[in-house]
Amino acid sequence: MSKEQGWLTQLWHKLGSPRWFYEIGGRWQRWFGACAALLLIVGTVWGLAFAPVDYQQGNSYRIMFVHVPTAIVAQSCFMILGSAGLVLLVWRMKMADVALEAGVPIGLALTALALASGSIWGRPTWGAWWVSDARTISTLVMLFLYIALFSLRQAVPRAEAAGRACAVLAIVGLVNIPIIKYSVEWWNTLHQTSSLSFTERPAMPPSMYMPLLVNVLGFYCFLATLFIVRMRTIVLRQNAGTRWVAEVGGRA
Amino acid sequence: MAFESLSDFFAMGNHGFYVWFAYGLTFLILGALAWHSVVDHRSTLRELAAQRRRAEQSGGTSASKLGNPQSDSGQT
Repeated sequence: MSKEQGWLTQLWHKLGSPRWFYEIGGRWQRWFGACAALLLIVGTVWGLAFAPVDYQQGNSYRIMFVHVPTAIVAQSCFMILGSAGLVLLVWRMKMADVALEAGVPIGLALTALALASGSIWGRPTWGAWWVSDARTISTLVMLFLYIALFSLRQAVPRAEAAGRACAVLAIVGLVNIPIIKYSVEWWNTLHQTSSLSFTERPAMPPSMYMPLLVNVLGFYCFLATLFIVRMRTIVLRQNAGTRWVAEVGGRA
Repeated sequence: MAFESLSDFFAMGNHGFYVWFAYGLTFLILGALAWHSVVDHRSTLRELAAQRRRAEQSGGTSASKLGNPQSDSGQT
């Protein structure tokens, strides 16, 4: 790499370098993992034992402290995949394809979990394990999109073609994200409106939204950790046989 | 504390079943995701090390057997 290139170009090349990612990611995953564990413990204990009881829902509302962060990161994960797909198609960056592959099982599990914890919350609150409204159905669509991405990766034999097909599907699937987000406003859903917002004060007191915020941050750190660990594994496999993998891989 | 006693805490009003079910399931899935990611990484490292050992033993038929002997990064 020539010295005359600007730092931005250099960063771009670094981001595209599997080896650089493997090495720096090894350091990052520890920090993100530690932050995730710490935040999740604090947020969960706070939400379960110290946040005040809800005057309408009683204690079942405490499911919010895990359900809402799960649903938020499941959607963020899809947005990451859509962006990775775009970068892959436009710039052919190999690491974008790695991210696109690594994130699918994570998002699939998180979306299923959000639907499950929502269902468990729905039983005492709405009186049914499943209620079809715009929010639950659009989230179900996201689950199917993740399943489709997962199957597509397995079904297409050529890695490059599989990556491109997944990229197209992830980009098209982005359409569903605003539908999930605004479903509670556009339609008359049984599902309550957003608990947190960037632009407005939450309808809850700080004693309720602070633990929620801590868990949301914890879930994001957890998502980052999983992405890094899984991307590093894929990078190793793709570069098997190169000298640097022999160097970093040791003699295990 | 939002609860009078430990048994109150476990009972969660009368919603104990739902609250503990949701939390249990959540941390079970998060744990499984983390566990699988780490185990997969370690087994990949072991697998690649074993491949390298086999290649060395078979006497320098070298990296071409192991996969793609391309340059080590996307850097230019």
